[in-house]
Amino acid sequence: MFLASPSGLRTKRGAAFLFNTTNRQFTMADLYNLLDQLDHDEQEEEIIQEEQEWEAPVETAVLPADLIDAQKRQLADNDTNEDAKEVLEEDSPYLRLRNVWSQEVNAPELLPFDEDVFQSIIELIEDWEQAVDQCEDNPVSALMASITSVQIERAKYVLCDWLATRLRKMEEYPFYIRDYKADCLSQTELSHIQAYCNLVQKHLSRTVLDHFPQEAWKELPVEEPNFDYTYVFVKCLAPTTIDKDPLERGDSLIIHYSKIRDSLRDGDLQILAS
Amino acid sequence: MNTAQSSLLLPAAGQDGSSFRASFSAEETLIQVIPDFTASPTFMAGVPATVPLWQAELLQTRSLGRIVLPEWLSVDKLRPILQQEKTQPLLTTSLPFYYYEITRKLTNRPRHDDTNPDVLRLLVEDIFQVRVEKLRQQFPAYLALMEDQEIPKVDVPGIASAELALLGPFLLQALGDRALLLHQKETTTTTKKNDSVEEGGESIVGEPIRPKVPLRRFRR
Repeated sequence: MFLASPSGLRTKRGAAFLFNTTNRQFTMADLYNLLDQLDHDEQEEEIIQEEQEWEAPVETAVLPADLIDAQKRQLADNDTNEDAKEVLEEDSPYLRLRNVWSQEVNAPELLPFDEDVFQSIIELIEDWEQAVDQCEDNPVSALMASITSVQIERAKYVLCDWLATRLRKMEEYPFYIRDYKADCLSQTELSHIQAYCNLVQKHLSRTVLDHFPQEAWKELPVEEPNFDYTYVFVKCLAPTTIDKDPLERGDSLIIHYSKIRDSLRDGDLQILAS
Repeated sequence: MNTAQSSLLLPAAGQDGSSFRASFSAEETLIQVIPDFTASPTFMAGVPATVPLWQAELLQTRSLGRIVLPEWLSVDKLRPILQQEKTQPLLTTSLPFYYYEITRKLTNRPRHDDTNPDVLRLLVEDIFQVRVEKLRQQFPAYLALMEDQEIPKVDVPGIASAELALLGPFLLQALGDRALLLHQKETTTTTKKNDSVEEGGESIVGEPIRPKVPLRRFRR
């Protein structure tokens, strides 16, 4: 009766009864106590030590988003493709940041600032940092936290390098960019470039321009970037035509920069190196 | 992570002969690793998991997993590719873009299985050298193509990151300079300079330089 019920074995008292660990004679009172306990303990079952050895505890860890993505990819496509950029169709902010970064590094001129990418990558980094702070104590979670922290460092590097490249390009032709290409900048970049231009203007005026004898020479000449002699390596992402010449996806070529400017804006091409 | 450790997280500059950015981007390629632990849902002990290369390297350095070499990185695949590169004029497209950087990273340490990493590394180095030589030999052809075609473009199918890093800047600079010189040549009036001026190379300024003071001609 009481031995037949499975819960009877699982309670501590039931086990003590069964294995007689207390080393004393059991009376009928004990039996009735046990039966009462069985009725009441149905809702709260204590798992005894032996039980725990039978079932390994399932260790759940907070996984960084990229690992979940990687698993989805693994389940989704069966054939392996080494060029992961082509396989990856999904739109994770980190991937978009890397694309924007590689284009900005390799392009000769300043590209438009992508506000969405910036905001989404900031949020993603914050999420990752929270995940790292909240990691639990077991070694698996510690490993996942360290992987996530490497991920954070990498994302931060890409972000900083992207912004630093933009800054470098901005400071090459500050006056031209301030006057004609202000739509390619973010708000902070715009305020920076205005302050920078003012400083440069003041410096040049005080050192050189004010000392010129003729009035007409006191204006600061504005340098414009010249891309007449710039060639780039590009790779086609989508079929497109350049000067009525059709290009297929996957073509790589060396071409004059002016010809591919529009295709670059549309996203059909990708600059490989410059 | 304190700052002393954070420098170990990113690839060291110049460690594998190519630029830092190239090796950084190469570390994002997906690769298979066999973990020794289980962390659902991605990692199950003994089951190959697909992760970016930087994660795979992290696991390998902590002895938590073994990296499975990608299938193109084997002697059977690389020897025919080397033959193909030596015989055919065009670059092969069957190697991934970051093949050189990936090989440098994966062949650094001895392997658990019986593949010899040095053989693979030497093969990839040979392939790289052959490809670079082929590209260099085709430079005059590129210049000619640029000049003749209506659409001045040159097809370079199959070019990879390492060759691009080595030859790219020089080639683009050369094309740009050549375009500049041709442009100058078209727009200048061809006036010869004073015969008594012996020194100086060719000037690329539009107007001829007329010296204000007669230059001396030194006799030996």
